[in-house]
Amino acid sequence: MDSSSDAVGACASDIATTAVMDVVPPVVQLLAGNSVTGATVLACLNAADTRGLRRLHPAVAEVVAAVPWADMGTPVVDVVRWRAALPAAVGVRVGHLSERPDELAAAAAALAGVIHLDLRERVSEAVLVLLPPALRVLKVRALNYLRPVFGASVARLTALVSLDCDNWEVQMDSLPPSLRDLRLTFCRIPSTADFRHLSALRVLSCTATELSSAIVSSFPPSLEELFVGGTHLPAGVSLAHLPLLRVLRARFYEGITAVTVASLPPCLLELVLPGLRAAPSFAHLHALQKLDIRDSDCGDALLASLPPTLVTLDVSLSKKLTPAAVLPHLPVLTTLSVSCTEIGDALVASLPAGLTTLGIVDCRRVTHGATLDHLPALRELRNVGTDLSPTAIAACRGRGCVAPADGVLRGYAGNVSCLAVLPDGRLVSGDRGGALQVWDVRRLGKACVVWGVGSEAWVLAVGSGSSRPAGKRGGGLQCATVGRGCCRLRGRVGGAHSQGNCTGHVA
Amino acid sequence: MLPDGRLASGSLDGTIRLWSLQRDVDSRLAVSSVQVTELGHQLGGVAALVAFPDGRLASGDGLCVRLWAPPPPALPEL
Repeated sequence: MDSSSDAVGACASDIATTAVMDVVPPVVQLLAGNSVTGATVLACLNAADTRGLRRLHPAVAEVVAAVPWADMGTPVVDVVRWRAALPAAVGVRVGHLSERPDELAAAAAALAGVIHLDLRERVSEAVLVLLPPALRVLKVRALNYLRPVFGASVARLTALVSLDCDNWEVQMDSLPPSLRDLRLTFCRIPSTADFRHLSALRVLSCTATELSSAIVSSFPPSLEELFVGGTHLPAGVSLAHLPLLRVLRARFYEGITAVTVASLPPCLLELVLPGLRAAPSFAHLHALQKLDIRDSDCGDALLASLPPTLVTLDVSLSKKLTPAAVLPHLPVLTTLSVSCTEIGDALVASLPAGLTTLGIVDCRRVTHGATLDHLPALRELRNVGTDLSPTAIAACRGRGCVAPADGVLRGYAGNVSCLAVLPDGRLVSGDRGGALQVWDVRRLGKACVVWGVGSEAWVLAVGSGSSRPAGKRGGGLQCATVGRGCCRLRGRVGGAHSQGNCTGHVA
Repeated sequence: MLPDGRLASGSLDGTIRLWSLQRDVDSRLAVSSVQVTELGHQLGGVAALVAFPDGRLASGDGLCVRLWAPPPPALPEL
């Protein structure tokens, strides 16, 4: 065969290929004709999307059936049909399970092979005996608030590594030692519970439950992260037996004392203790990177003793901080919140150069004299409610920092309830004290005040050409005329018997 | 609504957020959940919120009014 016949042959082959390509839509080729693109595209979809895919083309249905789906976001209402459609699926969030024995047995058969199971839609105790034995991850919420027993029936789940229990009475000795992550929410834990056999446990979360000293002392030394929230712990409990602990979060729990903090291992990275009513020392925590002790008894001395490894610090709402408070040497600190405290210019001056996020909301002791020029890396400044000078804020913005706060207007007898903007840019506010106030926001100054007849202003509307704000006060519509330098009440327009709660445009 | 088309919201939890809006296939405005800017956080709930023609915002917070200069909208990622 000469070269010209080769060319003809190649051309014929191209035509044949083109004909095939015309028959098979490109999307089918993408999903079912190439294992790489098909897998990549399918990985972006969820189980709900597969319904349309399976109808697209038999080849696509075949590919879809072979995918080990583990979509934990889409609730499945019929697990038997789900299994028939996705025979290779390994994970499922069950949206409904029938309590009828025959249907429950069929559902259990359909769940065979599942290793990741979400039963958060509430199930009864009867379901536990039907769980697939190869299960590795289980999230399960009890059907009612009687807290059924989560016990012997789960001991056979020897591959379980993650368990999220909600509203059960959990028998600890029944839990398999393979567990690495255990989350207990609104669970009852018997006073004799012992965690010691969970020797692989790394993460433990206990929310809204009770833990005695004996139970805490049985926590395995493998624990790396401990979360307690709304949980009763004995005061001054020691955690010294947890040498690998990296994270401790105990939200608004009064039982954490200086003794507890002193017992923490030096390798701790993150400590979240909002509402801490103690003044412990953190100096021994040589690796601490994140400390959240907002709304705590933290004072100037404690602040000055913080470890130099801190990257994130939150001491907002801590009433014992004073204008004399300063930060110690915190060379890697990037995020700090001291909002709603009495700190002043001294602390601002002590901020480290690497700071990127600063919260000083309502720190009224920060004055016009404070400067942020020593913070070249600052990218986010939350300073509403401070007296920082416009020059300092403008300089920050000039360096690329986002500083949304632009001033505060004070001088109200009642809570501000409604706002409107006049055509000339002035601001009108109404408050529960019964006043309409007009502000020149450019100079943060009050232009005038219109006092009403003693009841609350709920809504405001402004006439487009007449600069007349109208305030609804305790059942009547009132109009005021706002001039350049004065404003006065013009009188009542509407009825006076019902509370108004709507607004509109005054023509 | 801000002059640049973003929607400002104030919440009982004290947050003020800016929402970037985009038109869906039917040309209706839809909220894009991916571009949300949290301007700040107040101690009390936001009782009133109003936008100035120049894009600034004022919010009612207890016994004061707070003024805000929102940052420009972020450029879309390519």
